[in-house]
Amino acid sequence: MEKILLRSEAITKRFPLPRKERKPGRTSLLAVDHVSLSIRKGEIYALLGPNGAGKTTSLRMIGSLIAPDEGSIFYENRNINEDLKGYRSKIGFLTAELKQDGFFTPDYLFDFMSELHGIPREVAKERKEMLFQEFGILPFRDKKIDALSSGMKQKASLALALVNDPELIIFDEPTNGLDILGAKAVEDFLRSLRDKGRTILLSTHIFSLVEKLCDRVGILLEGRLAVEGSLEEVRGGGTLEESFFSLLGERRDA
Amino acid sequence: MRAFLAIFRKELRRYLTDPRMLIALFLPGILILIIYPLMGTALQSLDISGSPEGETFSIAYMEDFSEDSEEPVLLTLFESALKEQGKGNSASYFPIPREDREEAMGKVAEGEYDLFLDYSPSFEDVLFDRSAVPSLALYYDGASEKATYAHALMLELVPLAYDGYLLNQDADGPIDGNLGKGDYQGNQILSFLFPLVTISLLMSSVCSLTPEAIAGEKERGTLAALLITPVPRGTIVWGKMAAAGTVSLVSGATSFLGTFLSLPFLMGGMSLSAELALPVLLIIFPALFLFLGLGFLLSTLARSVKEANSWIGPFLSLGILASVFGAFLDLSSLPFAFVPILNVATCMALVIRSEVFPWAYLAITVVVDLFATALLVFLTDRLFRSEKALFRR
Ligand SMILES: Nc1ncnc2c1ncn2[C@@H]1O[C@H](COP(=O)(O)OP(=O)(O)OP(=O)(O)O)[C@@H](O)[C@H]1O
Ligand SMILES: [Mg+2]
Repeated sequence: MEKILLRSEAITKRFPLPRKERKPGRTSLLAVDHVSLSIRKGEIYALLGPNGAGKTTSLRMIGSLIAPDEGSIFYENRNINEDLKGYRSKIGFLTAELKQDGFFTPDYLFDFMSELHGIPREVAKERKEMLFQEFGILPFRDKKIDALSSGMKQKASLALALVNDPELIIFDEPTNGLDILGAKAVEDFLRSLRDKGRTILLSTHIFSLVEKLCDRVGILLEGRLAVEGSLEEVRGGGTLEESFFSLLGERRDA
Repeated sequence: MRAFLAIFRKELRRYLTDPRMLIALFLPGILILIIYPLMGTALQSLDISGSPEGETFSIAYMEDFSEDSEEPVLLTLFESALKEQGKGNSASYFPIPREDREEAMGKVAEGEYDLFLDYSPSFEDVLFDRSAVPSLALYYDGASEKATYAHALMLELVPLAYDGYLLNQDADGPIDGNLGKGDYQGNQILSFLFPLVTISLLMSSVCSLTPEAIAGEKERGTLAALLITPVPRGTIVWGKMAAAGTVSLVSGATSFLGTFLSLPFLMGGMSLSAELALPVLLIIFPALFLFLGLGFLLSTLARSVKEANSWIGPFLSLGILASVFGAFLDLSSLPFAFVPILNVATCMALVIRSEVFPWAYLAITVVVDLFATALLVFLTDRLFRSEKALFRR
């Protein structure tokens, strides 16, 4: 069995309900409810769930952007809070809506992000050339982001997420709002990362994306992890969609 | 330190190379250069100086105004006032015997005379030896522009001609009764205009700096990319504040320079004396930091640039309102110096118009505003570490 890179242990997040929606004995919303998942090194893991299931919240906790109310997250068997800086230098975080500051050029932003990550200048320079080459950014590296087409912007954003050469890439709704070409580019990007031995945790509500791309999947329903396993295990002989709706039915009945 | 500098440099770069931002930052200084002279021109045109040109005023006067003078002092002054204007205006004079008084008044109504100086008998002799109360009536045709002008000008000269014999006069001629350095009326206008213009321009430049700095990053989603780096959150927010602080210092300095360069054009000769430069600077910079701190706090709370702007807007109005209050209400008692923003406008007004330099008020204002800034910066720093503020729904 492959090595587990990251696991969460019963992470839980509550948000205070807006005043109007509060009822006696119910003042907060349980967005993520004791979720324990484990991600293996070198795989693409999908957190699949409908709107409001708690995908973004889970990913933000795992990305250390927000702290869980309960539970812990372990990276290579160490609680991430023991060395948050070290952990952050090993991960990347992306969302489909991620827009770059349109006033700067990809070249400048890459240098800027490298500085923030404290990457030695020589290393950063080499990595920039390599990534810009790979993503085809060279022709517009000195143009302001505002002046780029949306496809170019997307390429720049993806390259920028890799400044620190992350071991784990967290990607919230990778293909949200993209057309077929954009979505295809992102899928290729994720596959090529996996081929290089990177680990990817993504969230989505699109069954086909999971079937095409992912090694393992966790289904999140109303903040709870209903099932987790390899694509085959979760499908259980049928399609992913079928097993999703049967899980949903079970939950509704319960 | 490397990360702090990287953030500082990036923010500076955005402020200083984005044309829109540059305009927002340095336009105030330039606007001031235009506003004050324009206001000066507007104020002057309210003056009587919009005189007719090339006219001859027909002025009648009672012949018996004096027992031994040839011509009333008033007419000598009128003549030289016309000459001084250099608009080619002149006057011709018509002495009127006492028995023709009624007839002369009729001619004023018909427009033959523009003005009729109806002196009581021996007016000047009586006035100069103060033996009784003499009288002088000025008759004119209020429907005629020319006559109205002659009347207004003459009215201005009456005190010069005759009050002068009683008031502020010695053997060498008139004395300037103003023993102080200032000009009360000018200072009143300035003590209203200056805080109003300064505060609204400074605040509007702060408004253009801060919403983008944090709320803009939230809106674009780039904040998450910053937060995921190993850089401590404090470093991020301090880097941003330091850059905005530096830029607004420069922007504030240009507004200040603009003010000093252009004020002499506001109502000719009116200016902030050099002694006031330091106190005004002492008020402006803490005020600037105060607005900046406020802007950053709201920007950290807001979810989008639009929201940040809509929150900063009311404070801008409040600042403008405060400068109106500062000018028209008497807020010179020390407790008011403890109210941030209000104290800025009031203190500027007091520095300009008070007879006694308001040291205590100034000191309290500076300390209170710096303290309030520190509090706002502290709160911003705290909020920036709070996921509730950064990931607010
Ligand atoms: N910052 C927040 N404040 C209050 N409530 C929140 C916050 N973030 C999320 N929630 C609530 O928590 C629940 C889970 O939200 P989350 O964004 O994690 O779901 P999601 O699975 O990502 O949904 P989507 O597919 O719509 O992106 C929702 O009910 C949402 O309204
Ligand atoms: Mg989401």
